[in-house]
Amino acid sequence: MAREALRKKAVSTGEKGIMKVRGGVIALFLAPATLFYTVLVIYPLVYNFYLSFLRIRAVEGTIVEQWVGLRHFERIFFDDPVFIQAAGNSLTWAVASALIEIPVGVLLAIVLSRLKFLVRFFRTAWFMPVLLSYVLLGQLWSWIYRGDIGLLNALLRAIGLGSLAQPWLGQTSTALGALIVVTAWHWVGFTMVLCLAAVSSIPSELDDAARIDGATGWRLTWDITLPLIRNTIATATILVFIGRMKIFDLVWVATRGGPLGATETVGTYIVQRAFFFGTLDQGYAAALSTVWFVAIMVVSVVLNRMLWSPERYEY
Amino acid sequence: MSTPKNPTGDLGGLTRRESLRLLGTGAMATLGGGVLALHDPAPAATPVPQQTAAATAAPKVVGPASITFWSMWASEPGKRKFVDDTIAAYQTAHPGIKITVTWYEKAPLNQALTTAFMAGSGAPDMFYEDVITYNQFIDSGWMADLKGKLDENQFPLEGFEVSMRRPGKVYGVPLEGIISTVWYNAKIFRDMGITVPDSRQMTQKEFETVMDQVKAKGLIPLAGGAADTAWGGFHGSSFIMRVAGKDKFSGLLDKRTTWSDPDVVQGLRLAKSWFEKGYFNDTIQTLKATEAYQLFFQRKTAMIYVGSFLLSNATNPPDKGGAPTDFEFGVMMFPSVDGGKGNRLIGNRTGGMYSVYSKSKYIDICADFLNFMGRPEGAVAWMQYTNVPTWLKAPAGAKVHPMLTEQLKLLETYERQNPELTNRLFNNEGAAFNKWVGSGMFDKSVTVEQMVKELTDARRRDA
Repeated sequence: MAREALRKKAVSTGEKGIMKVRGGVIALFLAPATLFYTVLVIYPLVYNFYLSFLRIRAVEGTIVEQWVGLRHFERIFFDDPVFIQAAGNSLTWAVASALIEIPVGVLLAIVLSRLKFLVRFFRTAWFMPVLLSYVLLGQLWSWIYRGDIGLLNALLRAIGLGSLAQPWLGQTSTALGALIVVTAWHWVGFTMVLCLAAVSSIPSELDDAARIDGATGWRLTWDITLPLIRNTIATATILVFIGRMKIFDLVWVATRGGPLGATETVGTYIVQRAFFFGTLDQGYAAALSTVWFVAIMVVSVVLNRMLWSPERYEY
Repeated sequence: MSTPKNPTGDLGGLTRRESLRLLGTGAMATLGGGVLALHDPAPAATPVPQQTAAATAAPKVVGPASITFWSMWASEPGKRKFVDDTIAAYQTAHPGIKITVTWYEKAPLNQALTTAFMAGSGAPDMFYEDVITYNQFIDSGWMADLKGKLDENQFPLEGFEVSMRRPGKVYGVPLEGIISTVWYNAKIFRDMGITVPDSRQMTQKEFETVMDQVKAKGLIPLAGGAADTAWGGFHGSSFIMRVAGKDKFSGLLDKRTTWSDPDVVQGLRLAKSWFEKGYFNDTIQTLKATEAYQLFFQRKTAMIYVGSFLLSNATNPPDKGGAPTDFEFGVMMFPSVDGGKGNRLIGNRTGGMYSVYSKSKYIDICADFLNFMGRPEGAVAWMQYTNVPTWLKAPAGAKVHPMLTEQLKLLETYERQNPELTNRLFNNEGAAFNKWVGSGMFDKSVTVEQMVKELTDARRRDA
């Protein structure tokens, strides 16, 4: 018995030793990525949060930080009409984009899954815009939307709809909508690819079984395909929402938030505040970042709860 | 032989608890190490070196030195040539001193400078500065006071100090002068029988009659580009300056004048009226200022109201955005307005200047370089390379572009005043001015009353 206990103890000690070595090796391999993530993500996040409570000035070449508590946050919510407008624009953008990109992306995915010819061509063509950078898009669409020599107005005039030609990015009533169209055109291919992967993973036996039961066309899509890719649609919706709530570069290149703040987003306002307000008080800009970070997190959690289905289908 | 039973279960020999513990330890260790490594304890306050009494002789320059220099004008070949040639000549005369220049456009330069200054490292020894940020940089103590180090025979420092509103201090070399005039196409005017008075200034009625005539001919009377809200703001502030006069106009900057002052409101109304009468291009809301130049060079518009830097663009080769070689320029004053207290004012301000970092090790060498740049030959070279005025003193009779000569004559006739409010108003008030005057001036839905209300509210929020 004692011998058996000794043997078990020896085995256990040896195994624990192996585990320690193995654990050390794992930690060693994880360390660079963890360090990277900590330095480039966690530390700036925490530091930004800290800056939110400060008023920053430079006095005789030295940075002076003054603790102001919640004053920045109070101003953001109760005395900053620019933030309210920017937040409204960002949320409008997110909602409108979700309403456009998700149905169109899903539809394209379903069409592609049923298409019998030129599948690769259409998949590539519809995905291509995703590869373009927002800077390029901003320049490109600024020219397309130009009032005088823009391609869109030229097309409208060519087909006898010249009365609809207007400076799309130059008036408050159309500027935001024009940019929403740009991002929808840009990202719908991504949603399509996500949903296409999900649709492709549905076994064909389910379709066959449904057909046997008399389901055709639209009923197949609505009752079989869509429920089975619901979680993918949820993921895509959350990604679209987060992406549009953060948007900055397209606006910066195309309109800089104008005209009259009609396309100002929280992203552009933060940069304006940090670098172009003629003050060095980055505390306020940090507070704006903090508020919006929390807002995006809350929206993500809410959307996740609303859209994600806990059901697991086994097939 | 049987496979040894994994004694602890999943994850390659580690339980989930052990794996998480390991990851957490690793993360805490790296976080702690990272924080310790990166945390910069609050730097001890470094007092700005006190300036000694002014010395009349140029300071002695001691090398070796490697000086970093950040400049705007990345896409302006004339100004780049001036700076490059000056550096080359200085380095030849001062072996052991090397000056490395990095070229930027304006917005990225200001961001880079702000970031470097606030970080306390990586800032250049010398840098371009202008009205957008020099006030905050001076107030923050990042610009060296060069009083006593610059050759006061060569730089008109009194006027410059007034321009920068820092009596007794000199924070840079005023290299580029900007004179704001109305540029017109002399051939269009001649063909239409329009003559400019000898005083080079029309009344508002005469000017609007000219614009009506031009409009009737199917041309755009006045080109503008309000996508750069700076230009839109300049248009608004020029009218305010005309109506309100020098003192009240300056009062907007130090808050002595309210936005609801009747003269200010009248100035905004007159500015808005030109838009409402259709005197500008339809694309004004989306066009950048430099794109508006093209309307002028392509003869689609008879006039454009901008600073003297237009000539620098105009003299580029046509395939690089310049005017056709047979283009006939003319300049005149912004028109006078009825009862205006500022009708004799000509818009004049410092454009680009070069400054020295207050914490540079080479302040004296930089000042010596700037003296070298500002010598009479430098002034002439600047005007000949760039066709832009300079505050540097050029010898009489220097051969420069005839249009530059015409502008300089106007400076001798009229009283100088910085016409800008854009970039001299800061924080919420500055942003509101750019938005509601710079952009809102050219939006039909925005009224002057709304502009005044928004500007007043913005000033309250800054208080």
